Amino acid sequence: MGPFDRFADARTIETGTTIDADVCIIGTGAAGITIARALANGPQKVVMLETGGLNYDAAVAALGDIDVIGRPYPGGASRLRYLGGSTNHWGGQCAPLDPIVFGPRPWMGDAEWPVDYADLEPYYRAAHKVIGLGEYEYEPAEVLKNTPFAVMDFTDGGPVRTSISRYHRQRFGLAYAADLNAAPNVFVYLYATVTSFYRGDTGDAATHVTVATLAGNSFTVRATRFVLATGGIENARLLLDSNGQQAAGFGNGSGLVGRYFMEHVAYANGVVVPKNFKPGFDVYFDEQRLDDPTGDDVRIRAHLTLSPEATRALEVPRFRAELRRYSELRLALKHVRDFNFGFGDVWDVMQEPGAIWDALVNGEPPPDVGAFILANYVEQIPNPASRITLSSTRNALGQHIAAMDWRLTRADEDGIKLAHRVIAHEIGRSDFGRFRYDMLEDEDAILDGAYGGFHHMGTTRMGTDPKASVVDTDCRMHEAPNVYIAGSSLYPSAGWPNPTLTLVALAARLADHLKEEVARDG
Amino acid sequence: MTAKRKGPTRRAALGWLAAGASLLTGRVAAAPASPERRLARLAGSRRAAGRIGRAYLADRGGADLSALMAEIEARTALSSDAVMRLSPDALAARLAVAKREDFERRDTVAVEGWVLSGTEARLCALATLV
Repeated sequence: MGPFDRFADARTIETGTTIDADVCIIGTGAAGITIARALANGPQKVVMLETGGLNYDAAVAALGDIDVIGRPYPGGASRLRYLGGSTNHWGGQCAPLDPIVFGPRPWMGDAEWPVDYADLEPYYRAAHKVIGLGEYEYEPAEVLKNTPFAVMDFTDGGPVRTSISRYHRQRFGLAYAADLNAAPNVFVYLYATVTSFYRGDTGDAATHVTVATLAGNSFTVRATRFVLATGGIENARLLLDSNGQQAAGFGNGSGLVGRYFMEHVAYANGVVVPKNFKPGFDVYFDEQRLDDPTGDDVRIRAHLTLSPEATRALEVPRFRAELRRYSELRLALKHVRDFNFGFGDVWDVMQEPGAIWDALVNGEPPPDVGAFILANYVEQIPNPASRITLSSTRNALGQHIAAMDWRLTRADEDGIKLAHRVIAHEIGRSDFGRFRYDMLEDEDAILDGAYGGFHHMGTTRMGTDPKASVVDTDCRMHEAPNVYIAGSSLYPSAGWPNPTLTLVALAARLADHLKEEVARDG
Repeated sequence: MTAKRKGPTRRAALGWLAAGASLLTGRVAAAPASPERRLARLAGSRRAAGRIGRAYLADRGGADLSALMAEIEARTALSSDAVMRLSPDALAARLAVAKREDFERRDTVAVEGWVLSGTEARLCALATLV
């Protein structure tokens, strides 16, 4: 295992072996590593089971194939199965969920969280350090002060706001393998694929998991507590496939494991021509390096979002509008090819009468005619019919692979359309600029143009009611008191940010809970 | 424009430029002022406003000058007399308010996908007709 001499290769473990642990963490992605690091150098023996090795392995990756039976989806390509999990290719985008997301939103259906922003806030700060995101600061005025970047002025106090994302592509495996290797109480097993959860003869608690490798050997891990942290698809698939003792799947008496599969629904359709284009708007188009006081290598990007007040008034899902600079060449080609008039004409009629001549007479260059494309990322409305189930196809270890039935509804389409319309009208009302869109009225055409962001959420949702959720507020399975789940599969709703910061915060919170529980109960 | 003005006002500059152009081409301003012309001049450059106006009229299916004027007057609360009486700056300010109010009450039109205020699109149409 190279420099990580304490990591074990599970392919060399004799079949029939039983390994004992206090805590067994299944998965070494952002959530699993966050919890393992929190427990490192403590009194509990922690066993981590990773299905892959230290690098990409095509045969291991194929274990995660997905049978897409609903909307088209890239499937297995979106997840990585080796140390660090999908953080090995993530984009690093982070922002906390808005407080409004945690509360009741009747227009969003079953979207309410059983925790609120105040519960998570200290863990968001902890997650910031784990990911290397610099200061926990998201107020645009604070983040952008002393930078050359400009806030689009129509977002200052109106229904449309500027929101900030921070970026740091923390590769959890590369960053933290040495920590795991150095911790005397942490034992990492590579190429170890969990095949099933099992209970004992009495009680609901899990007693052990079975593990197999592509080398053909298999063994057992017994533990006092288990943490399932394998991603929004695999968490559900493994529980469903653990059906030797419970036909519906392990801990799935509610029938909800795998349901409510959600994505961020991306839909690019719209061009904005601002009246006064400023170079400082570049912070909306690309990630920009931030001179962060913590010294972390942080980048930022601005988006358009809707104020909480406007969100409630319009009853719209949370969304972020991501903007991309329209190239001059594309702008010119578009002008020639499609239309009787172009971006420059629209810009022209917005100007104050005589403003261009005025600028020339006064020796000032005329303002830049710029344009940008608008793509909205809209949270999907929780939908139990959108789900992960088991395919009849099996992988090389004999496991049923996941079947993905991702579904969008008319309500999702309405959210997409409303998100564009709100921005179009607000841009015009504020005289910031003008908006062009070709929104189609045909539902299928709109939904066909929508795609996901590889954000797999909702399949083991968190809640207080065992009939309406899979885990409780401590991330503990309602039906298995020693099995905890970590990751974006916990989310009852998605908000506009990408999911990683929140899942790391929830993992840090779960680690605190595990430490308290062990201190109390042993 | 928020920059401190160092030279002549834009109205004066426009006047000089127009006069200069007339002298160079040997032409004089032939058309008498009218409410339609005063409003059309505030729609933007003749070329840009004309293109947008033609597209709007094509969607609208007709070019009735008096109907357009009535619709603009209704949106701006300006009579023809007021259009003639107000200074260009005051007129431009009234039009800007009308455009903002159009967006606030969703009185917009989609012209080749562009979401324009109802007043704005009609001003462009005027520019093609006068």
